[in-house]
Amino acid sequence: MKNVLHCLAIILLLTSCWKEKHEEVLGYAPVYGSDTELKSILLTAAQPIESGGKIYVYDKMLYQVETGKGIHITDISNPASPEKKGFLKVPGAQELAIKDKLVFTNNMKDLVIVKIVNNTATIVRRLPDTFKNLFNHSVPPERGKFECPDPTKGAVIGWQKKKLLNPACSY
Amino acid sequence: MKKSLYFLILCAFGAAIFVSCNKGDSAPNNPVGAGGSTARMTLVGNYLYVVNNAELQTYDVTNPSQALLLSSQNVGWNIETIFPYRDKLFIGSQTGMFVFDNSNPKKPVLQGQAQHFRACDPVVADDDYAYVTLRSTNNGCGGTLNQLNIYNIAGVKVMTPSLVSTLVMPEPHGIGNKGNTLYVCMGEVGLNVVDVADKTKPKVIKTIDDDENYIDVIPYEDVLIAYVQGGIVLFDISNPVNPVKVST
Repeated sequence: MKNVLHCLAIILLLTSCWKEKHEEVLGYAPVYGSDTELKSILLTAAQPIESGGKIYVYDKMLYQVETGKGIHITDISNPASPEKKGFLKVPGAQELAIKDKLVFTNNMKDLVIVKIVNNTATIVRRLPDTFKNLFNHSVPPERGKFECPDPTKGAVIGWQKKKLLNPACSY
Repeated sequence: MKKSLYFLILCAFGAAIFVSCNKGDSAPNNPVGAGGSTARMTLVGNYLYVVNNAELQTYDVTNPSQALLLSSQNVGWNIETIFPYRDKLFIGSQTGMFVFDNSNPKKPVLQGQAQHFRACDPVVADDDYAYVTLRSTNNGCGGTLNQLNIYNIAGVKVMTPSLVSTLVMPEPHGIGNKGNTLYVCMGEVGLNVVDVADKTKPKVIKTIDDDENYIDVIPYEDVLIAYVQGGIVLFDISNPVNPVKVST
């Protein structure tokens, strides 16, 4: 009898393992980006506004964040016909403040100060991890099972919800 | 004895506030910068203030290439916004409004706070009053309130801002003020123009209800810059109570 029970237990264990291997759940998978790509900031031609974000005005120039992507620069000295001047590409941008020729924003988790002179953007200062509490991508936005990040694939820049096969991480 | 000492301190405080208020109007020729009421980052002179989740950080940016963190102080959980007005910084969190005195810009000092029920809350202010919007229907802010709160912060009142009035409105987001006119964004419901000449009885003058989804505004001289879903809308507000759309 005891043997039968042992046997059953082993079978149960095995089946549960078997089952788990094929468990498909809806969860978050990391989105990767290369570190150099993520840290590159440059001034480009004006871009269409997609969703828009926070705004700051300085000396009749309007700056609007394109969330996660950069900052639109628009001349509003004639409010009836605003003139798009350019787009400052800043990966991860969400926040901004402006003074003189300086743009203060966040490049992912870093605070950066960017100087714009003669249509060229130069990073004059980078203070790493200033926004680490705010834009923390080490875990997905919702609790539950998720695909463990693989550091060899690059830095995690966000999360994407999709069907996952037996994800090993959870929180 | 203790009481009179306390009174003296209060008086000194009041006097300090009074004196510092009077120096705010200098340098009219400098270009003016302004952010919205939902900003987490703001510049005052050579100092940059950042509100993280729980902290107010002060940076000296006199020499931008050597900008450095001067201090980081704990304020409370779930801070969302910072708004500068003269020598004060107004910080909005999900549970209250905090007022910092930054007459020494290197080291803002907490002066007072007003607690409210859990909600999202951008803040703007003028000399004597702070305007706070509370919104419940937001990702993760919680709460059940949708209203505009007006607090008296005049003189020593700043230490214990008192609620003067409340105006219920749907989904208030960002706010901006020009004199006695307040502009309150209400998402897809539109933009409310509110007369606050009588702080105890704020009243809606009109609601601009077009197809836009209003999130935040900056009154900038005679232009009202509105941040809407998908871009910006500009209004002429040379007559503050009657914003006229000039471009999108």
